[in-house]
Amino acid sequence: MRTRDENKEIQVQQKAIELIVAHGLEGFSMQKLAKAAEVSPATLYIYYKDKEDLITSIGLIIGKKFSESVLKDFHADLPFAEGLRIQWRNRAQYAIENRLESEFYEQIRSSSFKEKIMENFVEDFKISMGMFVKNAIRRGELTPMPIEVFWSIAYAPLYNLIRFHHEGRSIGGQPFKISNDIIEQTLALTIKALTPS
Amino acid sequence: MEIPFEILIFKTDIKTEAHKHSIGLVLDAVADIRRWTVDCEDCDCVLRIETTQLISTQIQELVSNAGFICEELTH
Repeated sequence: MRTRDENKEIQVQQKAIELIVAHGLEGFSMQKLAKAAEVSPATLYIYYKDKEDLITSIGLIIGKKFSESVLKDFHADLPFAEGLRIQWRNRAQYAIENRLESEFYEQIRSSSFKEKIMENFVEDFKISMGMFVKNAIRRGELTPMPIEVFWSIAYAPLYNLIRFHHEGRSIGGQPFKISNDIIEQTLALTIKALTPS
Repeated sequence: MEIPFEILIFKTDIKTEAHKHSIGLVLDAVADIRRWTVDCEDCDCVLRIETTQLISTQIQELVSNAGFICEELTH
């Protein structure tokens, strides 16, 4: 009887993430994965019916993990500055501890898999984030603005610091490592920019 | 409780949607096949069968009789 081996399944998922991050979704195939993970193609098909099924399954696992990590200690009623600080801490921690996973997630987000994966877990996440912003505006802690403007100011600076950190260098090739001080300094400026004067 | 089933994996030449449709007419008619899929994008056109009763040779016979190559892939 052929049974699923959980360790092997995790190993296969890990290898798939590595391959997709390194070579993109286009260049990825079940045969290449089998070779890289040192399993027979038949083994892969025990777990997944095809490439789409495999990518969707991995995307769902990662998406769920991301959303749980980001929502840790967070709720929509928090004062704006405190909630944003928790968001930054959670997002930075997730992206730094799970670099490959978060790069994989970025690839999926801009692909045709997006809807299939997002619709399954993203609803609670979206509601929580949306309420947080609404509450902050209602309390006069946040200037009303289009969501794109909000995101570009509220989160993009953090992701840029994370990018510098992962690349190990910043502008002009200067060595760079993220630190709490750097995060706090950037966050303070971000909050200042978002708060009504 | 779900009835335990076995997964059987085959290399085939079921390459197109039309092929898939014609093999579907055969496989859908078999009560002991719980679920089947073909990955037409893969170079081995892998046929995956979830069955509660059937053994590999029975599947091979069904698929060959429908005019397709069907070899079991082992791990």
